[in-house]
Amino acid sequence: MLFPTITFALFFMIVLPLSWLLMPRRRRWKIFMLGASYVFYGWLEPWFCVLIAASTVGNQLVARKIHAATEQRTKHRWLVAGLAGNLLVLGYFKYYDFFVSEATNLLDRIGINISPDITTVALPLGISFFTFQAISYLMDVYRGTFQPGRVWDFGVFLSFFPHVVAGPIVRPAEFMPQLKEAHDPQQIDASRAFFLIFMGLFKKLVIADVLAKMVDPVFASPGRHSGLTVLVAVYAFSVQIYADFSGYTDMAIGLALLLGFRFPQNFDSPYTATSVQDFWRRWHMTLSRWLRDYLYVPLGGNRRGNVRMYRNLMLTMLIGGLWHGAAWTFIVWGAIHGLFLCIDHHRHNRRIAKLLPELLDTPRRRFVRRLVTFHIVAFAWIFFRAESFERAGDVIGRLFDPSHWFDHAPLVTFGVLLAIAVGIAEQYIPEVRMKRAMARFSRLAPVAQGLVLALALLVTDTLAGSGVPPFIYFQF
Amino acid sequence: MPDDTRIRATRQADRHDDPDRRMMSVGHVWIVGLVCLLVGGLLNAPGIRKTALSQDVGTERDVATTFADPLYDVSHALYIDRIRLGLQELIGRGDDDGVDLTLPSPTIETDTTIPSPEKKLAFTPAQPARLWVGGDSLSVTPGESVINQAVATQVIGNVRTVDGHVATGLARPEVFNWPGYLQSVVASFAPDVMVLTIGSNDDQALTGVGGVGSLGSPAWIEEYRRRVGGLMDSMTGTGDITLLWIGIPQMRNVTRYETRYKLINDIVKQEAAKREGRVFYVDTAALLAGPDGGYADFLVWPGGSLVKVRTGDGIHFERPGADIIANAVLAALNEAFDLTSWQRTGPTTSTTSTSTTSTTLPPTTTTTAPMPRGPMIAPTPDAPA
Repeated sequence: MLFPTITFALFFMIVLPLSWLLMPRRRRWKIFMLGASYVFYGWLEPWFCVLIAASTVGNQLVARKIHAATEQRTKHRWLVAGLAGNLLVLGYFKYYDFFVSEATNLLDRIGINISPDITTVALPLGISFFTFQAISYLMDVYRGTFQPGRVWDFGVFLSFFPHVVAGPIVRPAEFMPQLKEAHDPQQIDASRAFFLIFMGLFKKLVIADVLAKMVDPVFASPGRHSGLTVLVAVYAFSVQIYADFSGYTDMAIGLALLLGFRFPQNFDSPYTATSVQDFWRRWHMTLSRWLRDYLYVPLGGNRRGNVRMYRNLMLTMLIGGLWHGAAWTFIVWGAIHGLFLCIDHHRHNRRIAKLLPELLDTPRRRFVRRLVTFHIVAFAWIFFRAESFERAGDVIGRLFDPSHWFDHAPLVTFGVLLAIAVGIAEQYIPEVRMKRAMARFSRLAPVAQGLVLALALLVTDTLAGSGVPPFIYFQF
Repeated sequence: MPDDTRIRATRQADRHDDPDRRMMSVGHVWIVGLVCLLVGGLLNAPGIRKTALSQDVGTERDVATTFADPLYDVSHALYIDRIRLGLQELIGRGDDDGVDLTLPSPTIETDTTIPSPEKKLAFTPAQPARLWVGGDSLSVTPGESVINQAVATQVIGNVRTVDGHVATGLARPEVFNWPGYLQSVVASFAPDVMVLTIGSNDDQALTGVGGVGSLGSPAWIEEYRRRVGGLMDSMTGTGDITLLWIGIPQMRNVTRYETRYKLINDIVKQEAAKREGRVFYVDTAALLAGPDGGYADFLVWPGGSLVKVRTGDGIHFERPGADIIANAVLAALNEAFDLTSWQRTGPTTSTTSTSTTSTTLPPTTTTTAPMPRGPMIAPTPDAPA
């Protein structure tokens, strides 16, 4: 089931009151929420539910074993078994054909000819997201920072419908205690929730989808388009992926809020970042945090000198790139980010070593930094979006080919430029203004609030095209 | 990056940071939601009605239309729908919610074979062809490859981007009326060649004028044949346009392909054959087949490397698969037209931009088909879009 559909709106209008009605009876509520989440998740492909149910039971068993083990070695063995199980499932669905075909081609080049039986299987929706959450559950139990809950609690945590398909990647310690808290049905921060849901809808249905129509043909054949068109397409994709993904998580956070649950923030105006390091504090924050806690830190983090830190940063970003998809272009995307993170850290460490103060944060310097950071990020997006190195090369080649820079550019329309501008400007709206608008909205009568939202729905639905194109992050 | 990433809990429940914002009760929230859906429903009634009609034929669609039709009637009677229509007119999309259920019938004696022109029409860089490429979701990736390769011939001078409309076909004119739409394309763009890919969403009951249920029944076959023939004639009847119709490829769901898509392919193939010289059918079934002639996810490329040609859903194409189809389309174009004689006489001054693009396969008329080795079949039920 997709959020921006009438089917989901009706589903949610039924789930919302029932959820609050059952909330005082915890056990019944958990069974109900588990059922609702499985209906949501299995709407398109019922067998996906079997997968998530197996993941729930398997990980819960392992977590219990880790917790019950008295010896560290036994705990470690169970952890390794649990991680291996999760990664094997993820690897099978996501990377099996990539690795087998790459290995076959490598062997072919050195004269060893094999004919593997490669079976491509459909990627279950959200498998990366719920697998990462399951891994964090096992790791936290192993580290002793979290005690395993009941299987119902863990089941709801893993499959909770607002976040099961595309995050945010929530930690067990953030979500599972909320299952025990008392939720006051008179104290819902609905104005913020509605604001997030409608912002998300607008970002996805209007901004992202308008830009997709321009980006897709340009990245398919950049050589047919002028340099100016290609440059606009690179900017457009930068905004499209932000609007698409942050739009989804905005809706997820808003929906969870209406059900009485708090999710961590996933985006914090990423294109206002003044460095690549700053960008990763603002972009897909729950993944950054996951990579930090469960990959970068176990690799040694910054504890063993600068060289090891740079190595760990690069490794983390390369694996982060590979997480996005089984393709070398994603690895290059991760490498570009890793490289600039290393440069940022190096410059910072050098200033500290020379006892130099931090550079003054003047408006002019901030503007230049933002501009440079945005262009580094946009350049890396070329590899993320391009279907192959060859195509990425075509895009970059076209950008630097002055002979075709000002050719006819029919795809650069007013609508596209407006969508790019709105997508970026939205990130610069001061928080205080948004709060003021939400506060004003919260003081309206219910009918007036409904009318305001209905008008927002009218504008969004009219500007949007027909149907709901797939969310970019569903494929990850 | 990760080492000092800060995660701030959303401030949604933190009233202390914004005491001006009032909290609401669940009843209040539900009423707001209800008013929003009701009023929003009335305001967007034409769009909702179209969405309801677009559902798969069956209970879900029946339920959806049971609610959507009266909603639309009320909205229309109270002039509420005019707000949306006005906004659509303002942004130049006044036809977005239109539903046209009529589909043209063949306009020629379909059992009469039309002789092909004795001399092929020649295109040159000075007199390039205008090319339109489009269809359902299966048209998108191969369409991009077709455009890349066609432009590289230097005689296809005026091309639009791929005109893909996901989840459409001839079965459901209320979802998207292809004949009606293509008439508007012809009027605005006047293409010489149209490369069309539809049919993979048509393995269902036929709705609209002449609609009939039960896929594969004699009545269904007759009506689908009428729609295919009608579309072909409405495009090529004047003789100004040549239509290349790309057939449905094999799919991982072998049963579905064998029992449904083969039937659709056969009808299109037969109708194209009746319009020889005007309509060319590009058979894709064998193009991406493995060594046993069946579906394959991977093929062995001429260089010996293993290349993925189909996407994970077992329906759509990866770029190399799309390039193979594009090669076949180019071969068909060369069969239909003279695209190369200008190379012998020398190019004249080009009147259009003919920038070439890099393509995985060279733009030749011979299909550099890979040598298939080792089919990889995984039976998973899928549906195209």
